[in-house]
This record gives sequence, structure tokens and C-alpha cells, in this order.
Amino acid sequence: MSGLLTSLTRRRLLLLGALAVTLAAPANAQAYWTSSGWGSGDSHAGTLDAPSLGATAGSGTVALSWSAVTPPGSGSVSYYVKRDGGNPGGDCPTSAAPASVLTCTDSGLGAGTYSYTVTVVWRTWTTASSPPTQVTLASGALDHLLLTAVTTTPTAGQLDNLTITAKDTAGITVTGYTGSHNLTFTGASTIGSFTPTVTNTSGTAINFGTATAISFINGVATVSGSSNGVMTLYKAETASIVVSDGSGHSNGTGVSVTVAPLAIDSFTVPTPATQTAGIAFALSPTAKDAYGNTATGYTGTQCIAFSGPANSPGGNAPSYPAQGGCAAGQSSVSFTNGVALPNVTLYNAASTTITVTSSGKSGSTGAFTVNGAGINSFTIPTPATQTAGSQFSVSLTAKDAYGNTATGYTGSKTVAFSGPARRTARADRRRATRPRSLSQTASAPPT
Amino acid sequence: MTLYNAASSNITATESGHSGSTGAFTVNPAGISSFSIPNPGTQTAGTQFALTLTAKDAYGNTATGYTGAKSVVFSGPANSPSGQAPSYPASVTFTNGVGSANVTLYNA
Repeated sequence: MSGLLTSLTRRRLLLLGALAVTLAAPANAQAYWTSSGWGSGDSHAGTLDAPSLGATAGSGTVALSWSAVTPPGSGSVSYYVKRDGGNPGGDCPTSAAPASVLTCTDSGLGAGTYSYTVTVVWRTWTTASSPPTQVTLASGALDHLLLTAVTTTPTAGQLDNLTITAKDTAGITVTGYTGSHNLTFTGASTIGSFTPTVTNTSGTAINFGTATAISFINGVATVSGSSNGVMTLYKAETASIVVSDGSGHSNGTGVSVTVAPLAIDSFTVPTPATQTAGIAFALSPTAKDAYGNTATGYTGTQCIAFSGPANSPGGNAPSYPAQGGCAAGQSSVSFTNGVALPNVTLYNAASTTITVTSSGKSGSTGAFTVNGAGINSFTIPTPATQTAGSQFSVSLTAKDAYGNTATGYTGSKTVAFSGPARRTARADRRRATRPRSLSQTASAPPT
Repeated sequence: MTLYNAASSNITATESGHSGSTGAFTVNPAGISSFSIPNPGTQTAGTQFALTLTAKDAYGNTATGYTGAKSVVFSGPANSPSGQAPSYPASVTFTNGVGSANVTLYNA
């Protein structure tokens, strides 16, 4: 400041009317009195220099600092900052509220060049502002993350390199976003024991949903070898992959990735409900890839071998779909998008499983029960030699048409017995050949 | 179940059109219950004739298990007017329930 009151005098002033004292140029500080009357006081004169201002560009911020100005008298000085002639943001003091600080940070800025000044205030005086300092910002503050993948249509288990870019509101890369940041990836699903992962800076696969250290250089994180953003998804689905930094910055609704299943690795065969011998039912083998996704590419006529169930006691072999053009022992089965519904008929009443096999790929049901069908006949074991007139037991077992015990044949039944000739006790008088117990109600074993 | 006819047999059980049969099995006769003795026809006093004795069970089957020498008591014919008593064997040998006894009667 160029001070004009250069002498300190003690004097009495007579002010007539409104005496204005104007301190002539080159002053940029002025003093004047606006009241009249008699009085006495001290008058001091000194300088109030302009501070020197320094500025450092950040991401959407400018850090300002300026030199301290010594007040010309008692009291302290305060400062205010102007950005492009207006009020700054952040914690910088404004002309309406000067503050005794020597640093501040202007924020909320986008990319561009800004001009700053700082002005000193002492009592009623303001000094000349500092010379304008120009600051150029390459970007605004971090607003969101941009996520891209080498492919958005990977197959299950395929390594997919991600690139993550820090962006400001204008979509300009925030080059100041650098170093390691803990990011969390979400959006893809787990299948079985396979959880989607992204490798961190050291190459360790970190599960989705867990903070993953990712290193940025000038606002961009790229894969290095197998580290720093190699994503692996396992479930066949369309997922929106979202990355977020835990501070409100993310890629919004995410990037859509469609994961395709691999080729067949095995079959799954749901366990049928309890079945009845001789009645066809549909089995539903489904081709699965190594991760448990339905191998939808497994389509068309396939040669399938069925195994497991035994022949019935009566010798009836299980019935599977026809051989068609397949090798002996195989059935021709039509798959659509990995799923088939072949009809099977079993005849052996037992607990059993069914295994389907094709080209070394197989899968089995759990154990399920085949019940006997309704009664078709009785089996009666041949008794040992008996003695006329002595009671003996015979056992009757109800059998279905396939030789299984008809376990549903229960309760009291009226059974007619026939066969043995009839003989009376009258010596040698033969009559019609009927046993005494020709017809009787029998609850097995009959008597 | 009780069967009475000593023979090879099988049993068929039938209910509501469903049936089943045993294989053939044997029913043996029970023990002797009585003898059956065919009428010998007209005989001549003092002339020996053979009487066939067949052991029977209670149901009329030949008691084939009745085998070996058996002491059989014969009765019925009277002595002749001159006092000659009928002549019977002391024992009769049975084979599979059948034996033969030589008898001489004197009373016409």
C-alpha cells in the first residue's frame, strides 16, 4: 500500500461543515471524516501492502495461499479472495466475510482457467488486491467412475479386463485421481460355490461385494498382467456391473454384461417322485457346464445311455426312449437349450437311481421309489409233503404283472382255493374232487 | 388249510380274476384208522383161501405207512358143528398198507 499519511501529528482540527479529506493519488486507500464538531485525537499514517498470492490446481479445487501483511497499526488484518471477480467457493473468505487466514481452498470447479486475487482489510481500510493469479484446472472434481470391459459378452469363467476411469461431471478424466483406491464391485451373481471376482493390485481375486484395492494413474485404472481389474464371472446371466468407491462415486446403474454358459460338463437329473411299475414318467436331464449353468448350447438329438434300474422279477427290462440312430444301448433324446424330457418306464419295484451318460458326461437322480403295480396274480410256494387231515399253512403273495409284490393289495380278501381232489372219510368212496376248504375267506396266510 | 386226499396235488388261489398256483406236492395218507377187506367170495369148508387186508386212514386213503408184520385178530366165523375152529395166521405182513392172510374156515 502506498501510504499517504506519512506524518504523525497531534493537532486540533476544526471541522467546518463536512470537511472531507481526500488523500490524493496514487493512493488506493482513502480516509475521510463525515461528521462535524470539535474534538481531539491521534492521527497515524502507515502502509498496507498487497499480499503475494500463490495457487495450486487440484481436481476441481484450487489451493490458495498468500503472504501475511503486517497491519500498519494495532489490530489484525483480514483477507478475502476473489475468483474471476466474484466470490470463490470452498472455505475461501469472501469480501462479505473477510477472515484472518493465509490459505484456503476453492472448490466445486470444473475444468478451465480461473483468475484469483486476494485483498487485505485492516480496520476500515482495504488494500490493493494482489496481482491476479491464473490457475488452470484439467478437470473438475471426481463425479463418477466409468467402467468398461474388454468384452461385455464373456463366457462363464472367462477373464475379462476392466478399465476404470475417474470422471468429473463434464466427463473429463480426473487425472488427479491416482494411487490405490478401494473399490467395490457388485451386480453379478454367485452360482454354486463360484462367486464373481475382480483381481486387486496384487493379483488376488477379490469377491464381488468386498472392497478391492485398485491402482489409478492419472485417473485411469487398467489391468497389469493378471492384476488390477481382471474380472471373472461365472453365472450365465445379464448383469449390470457396478463399481463404487464407497464415497458416493460409482458408474451409476452399471455396465451390462451378458455371461454365456460353457459347453456341457455334466448332467443334472432331478430325482423323480415315487413311481409305479409299468407306468411311464418323464425324466428331465439337464446339461450343465462346469459352473452349474445350463449348457443351453446342448441342443438337438443326443445319444443318451440310461442305467441304474434293474429288470423286474418277471424279467421286464426298463423302457427308455428308442435307439434311433444311436449305438446299441443308447437312446435318441432331443434336447432344447440343454433340457430334455425323455419318457421312462420302470418295472422293478425298488428304490433306484437313474444315471444318464453321453460322451463321458453323466449325471444321476437321487434315490427314488418304484412301487409295484396292482395285483395281477398270486404266487403260492409249493408246500412240502403233507399228511392227509393235518392242517398246514400256505402263503399267498399278490404279484403285479411284472412279478413285483403288489404291496397295495392289503386287507381281508375273499379267495377261492381249488385243485386238490376231495376224499371223504368213508372208506374209498370217492366223490367230486374238491378240498374241504374249497372256498374260504383268507387273510394271508390262509388256513 | 387241510387236505384229505393222499395224492400229488397243487393248489390254485383265485380272487377277482387273479389267481396263482402252487407246484405239485404230495399229500400222504394219515395213519391207519381201519382195514378194508374185500369179500372173499364163496369158499369151501376146510379149504384155505387168501384174504386181502388193506390198511386205511380216516379219510379212506390207503395207509401206506402201515408196513411190516402185524398181529391181527380175526373174528366172525364160528366153529364147525364138529368143533373145528377157523384157522388164521398168527401175524400178517403188510407192505404199503396191504397184507394177505391165509384163512381156513370149517363151518358151512
